[in-house]
Amino acid sequence: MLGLGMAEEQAELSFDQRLAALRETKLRQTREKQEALRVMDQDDHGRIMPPKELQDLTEYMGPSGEMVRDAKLNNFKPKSNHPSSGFFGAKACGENFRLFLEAHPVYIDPMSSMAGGYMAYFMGYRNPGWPPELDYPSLAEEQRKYGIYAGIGAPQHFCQDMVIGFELGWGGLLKKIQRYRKVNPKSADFYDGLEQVIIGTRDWMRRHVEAARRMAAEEKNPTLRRNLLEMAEINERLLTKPPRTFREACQWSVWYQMIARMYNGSGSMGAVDVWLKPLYDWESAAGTLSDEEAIFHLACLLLNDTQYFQLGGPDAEGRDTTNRLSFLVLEAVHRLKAPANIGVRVFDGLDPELLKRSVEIMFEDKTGFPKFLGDKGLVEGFARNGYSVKLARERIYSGCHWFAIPGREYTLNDCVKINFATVFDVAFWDMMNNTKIKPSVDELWRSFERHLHRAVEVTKEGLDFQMKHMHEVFPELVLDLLCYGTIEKGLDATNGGLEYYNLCIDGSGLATVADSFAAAEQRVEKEKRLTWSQLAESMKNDYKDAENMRLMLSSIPRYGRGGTRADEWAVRVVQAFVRFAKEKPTPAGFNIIPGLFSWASMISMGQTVGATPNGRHAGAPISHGASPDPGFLRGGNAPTAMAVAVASVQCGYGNTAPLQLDMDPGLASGEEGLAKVEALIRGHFELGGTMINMNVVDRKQVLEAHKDPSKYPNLIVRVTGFSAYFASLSKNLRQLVVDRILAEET
Amino acid sequence: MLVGREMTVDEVVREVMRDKVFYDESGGGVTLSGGDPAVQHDFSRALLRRFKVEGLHTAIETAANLQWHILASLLPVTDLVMMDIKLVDSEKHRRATGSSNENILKNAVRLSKTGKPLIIRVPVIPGVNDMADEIAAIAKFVQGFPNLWYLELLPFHRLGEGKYEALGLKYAASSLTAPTKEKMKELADAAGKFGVKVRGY
Repeated sequence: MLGLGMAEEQAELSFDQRLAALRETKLRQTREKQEALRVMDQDDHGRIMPPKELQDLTEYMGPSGEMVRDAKLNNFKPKSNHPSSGFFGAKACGENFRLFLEAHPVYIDPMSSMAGGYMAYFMGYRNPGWPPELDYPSLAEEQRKYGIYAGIGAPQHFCQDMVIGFELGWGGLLKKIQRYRKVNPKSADFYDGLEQVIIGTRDWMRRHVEAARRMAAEEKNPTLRRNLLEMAEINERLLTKPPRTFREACQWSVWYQMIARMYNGSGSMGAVDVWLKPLYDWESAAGTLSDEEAIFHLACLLLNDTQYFQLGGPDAEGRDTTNRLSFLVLEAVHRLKAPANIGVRVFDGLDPELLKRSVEIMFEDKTGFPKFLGDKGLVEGFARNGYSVKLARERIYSGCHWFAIPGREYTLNDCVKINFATVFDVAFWDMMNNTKIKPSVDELWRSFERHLHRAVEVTKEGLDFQMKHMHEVFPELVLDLLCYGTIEKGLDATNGGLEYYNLCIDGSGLATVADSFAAAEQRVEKEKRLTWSQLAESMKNDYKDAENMRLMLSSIPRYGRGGTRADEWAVRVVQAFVRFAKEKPTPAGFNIIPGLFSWASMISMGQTVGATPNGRHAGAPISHGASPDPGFLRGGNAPTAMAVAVASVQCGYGNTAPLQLDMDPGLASGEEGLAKVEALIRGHFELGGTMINMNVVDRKQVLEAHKDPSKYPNLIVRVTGFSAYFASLSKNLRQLVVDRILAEET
Repeated sequence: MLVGREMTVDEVVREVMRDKVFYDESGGGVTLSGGDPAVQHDFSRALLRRFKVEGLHTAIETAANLQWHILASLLPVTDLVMMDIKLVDSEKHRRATGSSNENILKNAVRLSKTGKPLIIRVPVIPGVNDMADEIAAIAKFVQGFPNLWYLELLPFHRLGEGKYEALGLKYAASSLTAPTKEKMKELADAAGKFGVKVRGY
């Protein structure tokens, strides 16, 4: 199995050797995924392919507008509790998840110190995903009109607190459920669901215990035999008891992160260097854990899945949480050279070594890792909602572009988006088709403002709908286990179980709209190079036979350059958006936090938007989040210009408008170069920036890989909030990454 | 104008000040380079003055082949001067560049008496000055400058070739190749013998 000769079979293996073998396996599994699934426009999850005989391949439309495949387990069929043939509610979801776990194969790599590997997504079996009787036709119509991703039916996107799991273990959690079941008899259905999740998980774990023992009996290599026996022993213990060693805590996290991911896609883990620290400190003081071993366990944890982690940053009192473990996590990812989603929280008190080492690794590994988080903008912003600074510091990085207070806050981050470009489209034609008004930039702005206002209101109404019904559709059974209040009150996190509710609304396509306003203002109104009706006519015809006009419109000084009218329009659009988001909570009273982000949806969001006055063709992608359009600045110093521009459009309430930078590897050569990159990071955060996603790309390599991705199966790029294997992306999404790189080259 | 755009002092200052936070974070500032900022010295002076008012660190890059009073007039608003010396031998200089270096060397000596931080930069060009004795001569010439930060050796590169091509011009240096790392090390060692701090590649 290991391809070792007889002599090597008997030799002890070092952690390095085992990690090298694990890396090889990961690459092989990624290739298998790429071949079977073709396209994966999302994070490269740690998911591995089920055995061929259990695979059931299905296709669906991905976010970038290409068909995407998924592999399901063919030995699991959910039990319906509804005429639509779907299954809804806590008990049915919990029972079906338990059946799913029963059908799920065992996976043990004897090289790894962690048992388990996941092969399918439970939520993919939810069909329909929403009960037909809970229809919302009037809402849906306006949501479509304004290009709103309403988030209705969207799961997870908040963060549990791992500490609860470490304290109780599965046994303690079961007892807690049984205790509160008596306090809240009306919530029996909910408690049943939670119990089923734990029962299913423990059954799955137990099968691993048995498999590890069987494998150990046959294993010739002494290191691996020992590893398998320890694995069996550890997991047998973890069936009921909380973890008591570092390795056990990592193993417990592996089980939890797998069920969270499989159940509804959750990838939030939070401050790993904080919640693993007590056991690390205790064991390293006792001399039972070397740093090399700790790095190895961390690497195995990270290989299991690409979860979101924060490193460093202030604790509630403002003291830096950076510790030895923060560096070990960095080192583990550095040695893995696989995609990882780790953010370093930069603030004045941060250990400068952590930032320095992070930047070094970013340029050395070129895997888009880690990303950087701007504490000042985040904390000051969140406090503006009326919360204390202490609480704001406890809001931890735990998803693509977002933060949540572990175990205490429901956010629905990254699920709710308003496409500014669609709103502009509606506003523009509303003005042109109204014969009573004379078109002008002022009229256009008034129309845009009116429609944006309505779009935000509709989004708020949609959020109330989600909050009213989600728990009876697809409750958060896995995240609920590790939250404060859910079990105690007998209420799902979407149903009032938690302490804080701050729902996210992101705006998308800012540059498309800002440049469109500026182009119309300059070319139509100021220079009178064309009339409103000529502009409208050309847009209607998608600039057919009007390439000169299109180029004239697109060549105005654009958002991002700094000090231009387009820059001012961008700020104005964001200010209006924030004003509408914050003027009042949702009708049911939920606080809203605005941000700017489009995830990887620039392509699908653009498909429904007609030609725009910035020279963008109908159906072309919209601009990414808060970013200027690629090519906004010819020559000049694009990274600092972008850093200033994106800082100027922050929404200011603690959610992010990330800065996306693609850097040339040559930029940070030597100490001096690295110091400059650090200055860029600190500078952006000083200006109020909230997050930096940096991609260090060898342009030549990416361009070659675009021609033939199969030649570079290991090339990792940061797409947006996440990093992924370039070869796994759809052609459309690869093209966007390439366009961004080419634009910055000139 | 074929490329670029005309800008006023105000416009340049506004553009530069947008990035102020990055100068602060990196301990950096503004360098006027060229061409030669001394050629448009009225504009440069006005610009540098404004930067000083804004509290920025300022530097100029100059070939110093101009009347001293012009160069001197920029110094009160300049924190650091970077100046080129290609060769010490006047005749060789004339052959390589088409003009004598007499004025350049005089200005270098004058600069050495101003107390203004000074970096002397030597573009190392194959066949022109990539010999140990030529570099040594420069090091010997500047060794007594009290305000010299360091002597910097810049290896010839061909980054300009594409631009010439785009403009339909003949690239006169097309036969030249960049000096090797070993070569640069040898030259740096030759200069180092004169007790001058050398930076190079």
